[in-house]
Amino acid sequence: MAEYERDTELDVLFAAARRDTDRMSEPLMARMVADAARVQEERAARDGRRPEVAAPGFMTQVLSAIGGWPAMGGLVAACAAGVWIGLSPPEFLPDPTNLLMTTQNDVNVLDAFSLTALYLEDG
Amino acid sequence: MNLARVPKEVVGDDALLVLFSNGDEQAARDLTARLGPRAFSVAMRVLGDRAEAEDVAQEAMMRLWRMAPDWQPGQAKVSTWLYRVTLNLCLDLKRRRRGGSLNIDDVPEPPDPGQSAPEKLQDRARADALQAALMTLPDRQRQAVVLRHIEDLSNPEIAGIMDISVEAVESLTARGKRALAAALAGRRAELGYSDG
Repeated sequence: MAEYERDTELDVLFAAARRDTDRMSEPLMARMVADAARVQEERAARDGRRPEVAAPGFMTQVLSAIGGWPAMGGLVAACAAGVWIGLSPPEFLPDPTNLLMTTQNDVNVLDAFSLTALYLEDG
Repeated sequence: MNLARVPKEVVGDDALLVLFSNGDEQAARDLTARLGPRAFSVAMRVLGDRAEAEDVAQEAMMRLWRMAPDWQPGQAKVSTWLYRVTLNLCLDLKRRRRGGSLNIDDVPEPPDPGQSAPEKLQDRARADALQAALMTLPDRQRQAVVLRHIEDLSNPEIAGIMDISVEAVESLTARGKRALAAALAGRRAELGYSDG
């Protein structure tokens, strides 16, 4: 028998099995639901409370205060941007690496003549 | 019992499991309606015994209820976990009982209101023939064929359930189908493939 023919015939049987499959009995369904209810009751009794939403943890409260995980993502991005700007600033900002490398002798201080000129301008 | 079914695109299994852990009773009913039939179906096909399949399916769901607080959403599919537990329970059961036996008629069938009588009879005859042939397969081939061609799962998902590679799944299903065809060769006229 050709493989195609074989697969086609098996597909007919598989389709019949799928239609014949979803026949779980109502009593079995009821037993599963009853088991679930019993587990929930046991858990609630063990925790000494009704089965309801537990108090959120510290991190959950912090996250909900700032707007959840999407806000946390924005906060992380902003922090990363701040670090990057600090390490590799745009031209209008001082480069921190230059400041680190600079010695006292390299600092540009106004000399006395310039200061005098400034005071004279003010009259 | 008429269990309301929440569409999966509205609330996923992960979310239902979290709701269940928090004490939501409707979530328990929704999960039962959604996942219970799958556990039963696989157990039924692998074990070939309705009473044993019902026991396995109920135990698999019990393990789901107990595991729920520890479930990590997003790491795996709930259905994958349930299939794996079901297959392991089937394996444990087969180890405890000696040999396999095809005994689908042990428990009375629930009535199926969806099909006409002739269609039902034909589907039942074909499904029974297929089940008899499935029971002649080695366990792993039977599991792979059932998950692929009756539960309609993808090869990667089956690989995750059976803890094997995708290539191994393809090999098992290919060999399983060849073995099924051989087992059913003498029943082609009886099964009426050309009838649709």
